[in-house]
Amino acid sequence: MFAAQLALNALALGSAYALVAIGFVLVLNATTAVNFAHGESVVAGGFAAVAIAGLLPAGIPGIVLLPGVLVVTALLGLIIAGVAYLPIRSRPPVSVFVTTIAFGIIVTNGLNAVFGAAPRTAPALVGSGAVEFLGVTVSLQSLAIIATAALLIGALAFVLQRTQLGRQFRACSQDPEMARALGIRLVRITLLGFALGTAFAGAAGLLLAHQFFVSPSDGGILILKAYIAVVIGGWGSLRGASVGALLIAVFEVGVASVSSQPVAEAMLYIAVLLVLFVRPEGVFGEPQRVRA
Amino acid sequence: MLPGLRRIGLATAIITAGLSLVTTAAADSLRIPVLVPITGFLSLEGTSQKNGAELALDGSDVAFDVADTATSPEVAVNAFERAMNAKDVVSVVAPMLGTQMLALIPLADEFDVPMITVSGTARITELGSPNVFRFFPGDVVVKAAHARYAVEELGAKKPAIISQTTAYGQSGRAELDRNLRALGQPPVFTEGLEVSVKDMLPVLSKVRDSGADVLLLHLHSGPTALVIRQARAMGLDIPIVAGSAMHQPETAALLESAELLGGCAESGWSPISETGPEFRAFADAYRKSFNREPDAFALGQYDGVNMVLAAIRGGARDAAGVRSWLESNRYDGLAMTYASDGKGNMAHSAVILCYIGADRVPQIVKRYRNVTGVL
Amino acid sequence: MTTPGLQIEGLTVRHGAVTAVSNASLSAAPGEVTCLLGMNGAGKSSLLRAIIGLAASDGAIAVSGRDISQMATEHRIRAGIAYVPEGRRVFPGLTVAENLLVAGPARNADRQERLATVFELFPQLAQRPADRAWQLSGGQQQMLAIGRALMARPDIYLLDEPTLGLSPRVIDDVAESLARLVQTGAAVLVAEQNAGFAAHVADRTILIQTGRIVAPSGAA
Repeated sequence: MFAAQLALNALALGSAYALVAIGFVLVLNATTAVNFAHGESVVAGGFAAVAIAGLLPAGIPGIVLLPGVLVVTALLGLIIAGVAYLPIRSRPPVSVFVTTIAFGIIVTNGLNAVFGAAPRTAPALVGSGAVEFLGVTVSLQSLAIIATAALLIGALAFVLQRTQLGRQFRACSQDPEMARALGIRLVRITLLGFALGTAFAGAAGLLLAHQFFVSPSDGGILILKAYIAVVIGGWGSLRGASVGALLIAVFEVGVASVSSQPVAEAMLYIAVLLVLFVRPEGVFGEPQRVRA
Repeated sequence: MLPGLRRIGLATAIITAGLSLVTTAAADSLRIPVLVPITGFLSLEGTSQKNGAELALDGSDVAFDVADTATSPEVAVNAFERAMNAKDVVSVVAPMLGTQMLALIPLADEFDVPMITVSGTARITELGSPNVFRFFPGDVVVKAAHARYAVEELGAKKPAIISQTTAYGQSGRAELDRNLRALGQPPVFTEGLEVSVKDMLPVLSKVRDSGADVLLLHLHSGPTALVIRQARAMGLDIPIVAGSAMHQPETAALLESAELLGGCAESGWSPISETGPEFRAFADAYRKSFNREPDAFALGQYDGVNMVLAAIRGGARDAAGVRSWLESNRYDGLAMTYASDGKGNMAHSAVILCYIGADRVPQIVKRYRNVTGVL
Repeated sequence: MTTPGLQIEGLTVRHGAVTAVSNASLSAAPGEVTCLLGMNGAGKSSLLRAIIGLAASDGAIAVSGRDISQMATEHRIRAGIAYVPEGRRVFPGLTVAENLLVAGPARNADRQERLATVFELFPQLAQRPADRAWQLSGGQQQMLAIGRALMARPDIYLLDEPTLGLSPRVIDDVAESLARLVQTGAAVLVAEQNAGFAAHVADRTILIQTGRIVAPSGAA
């Protein structure tokens, strides 16, 4: 029963982490750029939830905040694209590292100035209670996190697999120059990648903010988790990012329960090193990408 | 000379004279740089430090600048070195983050400037530096209170400890462990957690499996609230006595009233729990200036800066004078009476607070005065 | 009266300090295969990339009499050019059908109609619409790349060394595909170093050497 409890907790946490990692990969695929402001985008989503909840009657379920959070963080993504990526996209990649790191610092300090340094909590998605199911205490919040993440990931999969825009996005991620030669507008795809990717990060922020709180300084550890997920799962692979994120949660929850948290963290990094040595392209490594 | 040029010359002379007056005034005033973590995982506590220092310095003749030390020792060292470029620095408000303090101590000794801080990390006053003055009861004091309350008041026979893996956490855990053993009740379970850990089920399940009858926490604000929330959610109903983070109103604000009820914490003091007029005046002034509730870190820093101002009023005009005054005098601050134990530990009392009412304001349930016997 | 087909006048392409194409003039008429024949490094690819807008250039480029030389690539595509690059460059992770659809028009109904047409012309592709492009052979990928160009129904086809790395039997299939493109009434400009293939398919041949059009002189 306890193992089932741990599995559920790991799945809930991993689902939220998966949204973070998927958002990271969406930007990566649209641009080849590593967006170091991505962790701060998760935090921005959490604080957007806190702010919007403050404008609504008390007791409102957190799921109601999702559309607003998605819109706000998608707009943030467009700003990041316009300020920190598009003007310098023809420069060496390290330039984008610097601009997105700087943007992330601006977001962190901005949130600190507006909301203060204290951790904040957002409303529970559907309620704070729990249900007993086959001897396992299942919190409504955990179930809601899993369901919301699954819904968003499913919607993304539909868009990417079944729509022309999704095909164009995937084509750009594999060969942007050839995509351009077919008439696909790369700037549009770039903006879409940033908007979608940051919206996913924001959604993760909402999902995490009730159970785990949100602080302005949380961004650094979140970008690290996204990076680890992508290294394990495969650079550029959405499926791999999800698997990598779930694996991180398995270490944080499962491995930590039988050893200790510091040991679990060390073992996670050893696993990352093993992946890099044995299969450097990651578990679901994508075919080689052609740079524009 | 042409009329226009004459006007320009006159304006230049006035401006230059004015500047030299300003410069002279600045050269005459003493300075206390305020170097605190305003961003990063300790930003909540660091902001309290900043606010307490500012409240004490506002209206005084002493000049001050605030610099953010964030979370890394390098940033703190850079901020300190930049601060030393100014003239007439008589003291420095130093960050409460233990790892930063440990990096700053050699610099403070090199520049021979006393640092006043509210850092709880025990080690900062064990390195033999004459330039560290801690205005918050150190781990030696608060962890003694923490352990004694658990054993003597709650009857703990199998205590468990969860601490942070930071220098603050390790220092506190070592003191808690030592005190519990001295009281004859060694811990049955101990684990350290990274600041970023979100899911507490693994560690709480191990606490439950250990058969612990009291849980002692030595964690920062967010992790403290997470442990309490998740312990209650999983039905772990043993008493929880948290570290000083739990006394902060911002930490309490993260929890529902039902989750708060019965929870306790150690602290140097709790300004919002006191009802005396001087505390109310302090709390009112704090709320008015900063739009938030004061906590013990703010109060400790406020008292510490005020003691330095008292030293200046007492005739100290440079860093050596301030240091000498702090070493050899008592000071009746708002929170308590301060006096150095010879190593720079100025505060020697602690309290235990518990959330026992519906109003979410903790009550002081036990005072531990002069724990070290220095006063 | 607008001149149909492709018209290039005084085209110069530079890659940094290196001049890849110098003052080239040529034309490709509708309903014909014009072959640009030259050795490796002669400037064939640079010239085609400049026409499609993937390489910067000076000079005039016109499609059906319309000057496209100042247009961005996506607008040149809309003006009626399709490009089949050297090495095929199909999207390896997309399926056969997806590779074709992504090059299709905005309306879904139009896309599906053109997809059906391409599958009729290339039965090999019709047999494996759900296979990922990386799973196809070199010849099948070349068919896919040509089919992808067909989806746009352009006035001008640009093909860069379509026979590179292919077996003789497959090269015959490529020749057949070019014939189909010509049947649509489009102008086809093929860059090749395979003289035998050029002789087989071309209605007109233009020689390019070290970035200059050498024969016939005044090729435009």
